[in-house]
Amino acid sequence: MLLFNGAHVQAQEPVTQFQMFGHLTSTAEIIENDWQSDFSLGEHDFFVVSKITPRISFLSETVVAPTGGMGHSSSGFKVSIERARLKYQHREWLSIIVGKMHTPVNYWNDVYHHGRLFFPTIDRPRSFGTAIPIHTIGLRLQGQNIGGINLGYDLVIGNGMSSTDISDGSLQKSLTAAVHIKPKEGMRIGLSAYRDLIKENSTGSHSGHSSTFHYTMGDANWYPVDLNFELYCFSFYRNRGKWETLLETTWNRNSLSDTNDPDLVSVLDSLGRSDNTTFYAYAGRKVSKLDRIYGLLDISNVSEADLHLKSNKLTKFGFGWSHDFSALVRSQVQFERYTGLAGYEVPADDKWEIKLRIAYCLY
Amino acid sequence: MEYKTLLAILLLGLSMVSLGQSGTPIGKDLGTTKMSDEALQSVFRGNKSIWNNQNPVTVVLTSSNSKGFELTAQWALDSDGFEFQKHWLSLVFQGRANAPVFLKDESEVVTYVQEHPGAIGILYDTAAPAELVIEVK
Repeated sequence: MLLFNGAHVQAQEPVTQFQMFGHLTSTAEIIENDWQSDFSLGEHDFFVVSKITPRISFLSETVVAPTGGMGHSSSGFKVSIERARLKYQHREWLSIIVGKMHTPVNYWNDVYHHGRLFFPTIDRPRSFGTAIPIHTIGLRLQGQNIGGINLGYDLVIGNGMSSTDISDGSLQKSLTAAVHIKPKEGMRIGLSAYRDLIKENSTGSHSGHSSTFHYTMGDANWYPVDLNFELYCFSFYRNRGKWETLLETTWNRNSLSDTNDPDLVSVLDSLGRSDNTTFYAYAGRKVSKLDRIYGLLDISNVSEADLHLKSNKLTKFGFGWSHDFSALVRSQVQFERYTGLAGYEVPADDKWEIKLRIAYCLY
Repeated sequence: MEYKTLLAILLLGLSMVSLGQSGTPIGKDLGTTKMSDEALQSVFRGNKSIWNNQNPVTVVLTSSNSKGFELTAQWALDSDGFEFQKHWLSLVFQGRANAPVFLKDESEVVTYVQEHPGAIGILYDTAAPAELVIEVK
C-alpha cells in the first residue's frame, strides 16, 4: 500500500501492496462523413502484490472493464480476474510460477497488458484481438538476468485457448517457450513460440480481448473442427536517450488437426491451413522531460483459408503526443487513420479517429 | 591514524567517485562485501533477485521525493527520479521484480538493512555502520 510514496514501511514480513490502474477515454471519429463521439470509463485494474516469504510472492489483477467495447458500443461492466499467480524464486535462473498469468509471448503482453499508464500508444496492437493468446492458467518456469546479456526464458504449460477461467475439459495443453535478452539497459529483444490445439474451434477466455475477429458458433463459416494453432513472435524494445521504439511481429499458422472427422475435413479441402501475420511499430521521441511525440503503424493480415480467425487485411497508422503529469498520471492524444482492403470477412476500415486518454495509478 | 584506516578512507573515497554524489552502499549478508559499480547499478535497476549466498535481494530506497532517490536514479539509471519511479513501477507490474522497500529517511534505511539479510541501500547523508559498508571495486 505504501509503494513509491515514501511513507514508512514497518520492517516486518509479509508485505502486501495495493495499487489501482485506470483510465478515461474520449473518442471522436468520422466514418463516411458521419461523426460520432463519446467519453468513456475504461478498465480499472486492482493490482495486488505480496511478498509472503522472502522467496514466495503473490500477484493478482482484478479488472472491472466495459463489456462489448468502449464508449458507444459498451453496454455495461464485467469483473474479471486477469492474473492470480504464486511465484517461488529458487535461483536467479529458476522461478516456479503457478496460476493465471499473461502468456509471455511478446513484449506488449508481458510488460503492459492492463497497465495503460505504461502503454506507449492509446490502443493495444491489433494482434491482441487475433493471434495473441493473452492468458494462460498453468505452470511456468522462468529465469531472468542470466549472464552478461541478461538472458531470460519462460516455459509455460497450461490450459489452451478454448478453455475458460474455470476449466479446460481437455488433456491437451498449450505450450509456450520464450527467450529474451537485455544486452543493454533499456533494450529487450525477444522470441517466442506457442502451440495449442483449439478444441472444436471454440473461443475461450484467453483468445484475445476482442472476439470480433474470431468465428463463433452461429457464424456462417464456423466449423466445429479441432485446429492446430502455432504462433511465433518477435519483439524489439529500446528506450534510451530521447528515443523509444517498439516492434512487435507475429506469424500464426492454423491448420486442421489430424483428429478431425474425415467426412467434415473433406469438405474443407480448400481451407484449413493459413498463414497470418501482424506487425506493429511504435517510435516516440522525447521533446521535453514530460512530453513525447510518437508515430504508430499497425497491420493485420489474416488469410482467407483460416478457420479460426475471420480473414482481413487491415492497417492503422497515426501519430500522437503524450504528456506525463507525474510518474502516475499520463495523458495522450492520438490521431489515427484506419484503412484496409475490401473483400475479406472483416470489412475494411475507413475512418479517422481522434482519441484522448488519461491513465493513472493510485495507491 | 593507522595504515588500515587510511586505506579504508581511500577506498571509500574511490567508491564515492563511482557513486557520483558521495553515496555509500550498505548491505547485510549479501555473500560479498565488495561489488563493482556496474554490479551495484544492476542491482538498483532490479536486475538481480538472489545473492550468491542465496539470500533474496531487497532493494531499500528513500522516498521518491527525497534527494537520495534522485541521486540514486541518476547513478543507477543515468536518468532522473521520475524515470526511476516509472522504471520500478513497471518492473513490479510485470511481476519480474519484487517491489523495493521505501523508507522515510536514511536512518530507517540503516535500521532496515541491519535487520534484513539480503537488503541493500545507499546512504548519502548518514554515516554508514562499518559492518554494513559495501566496498566498491
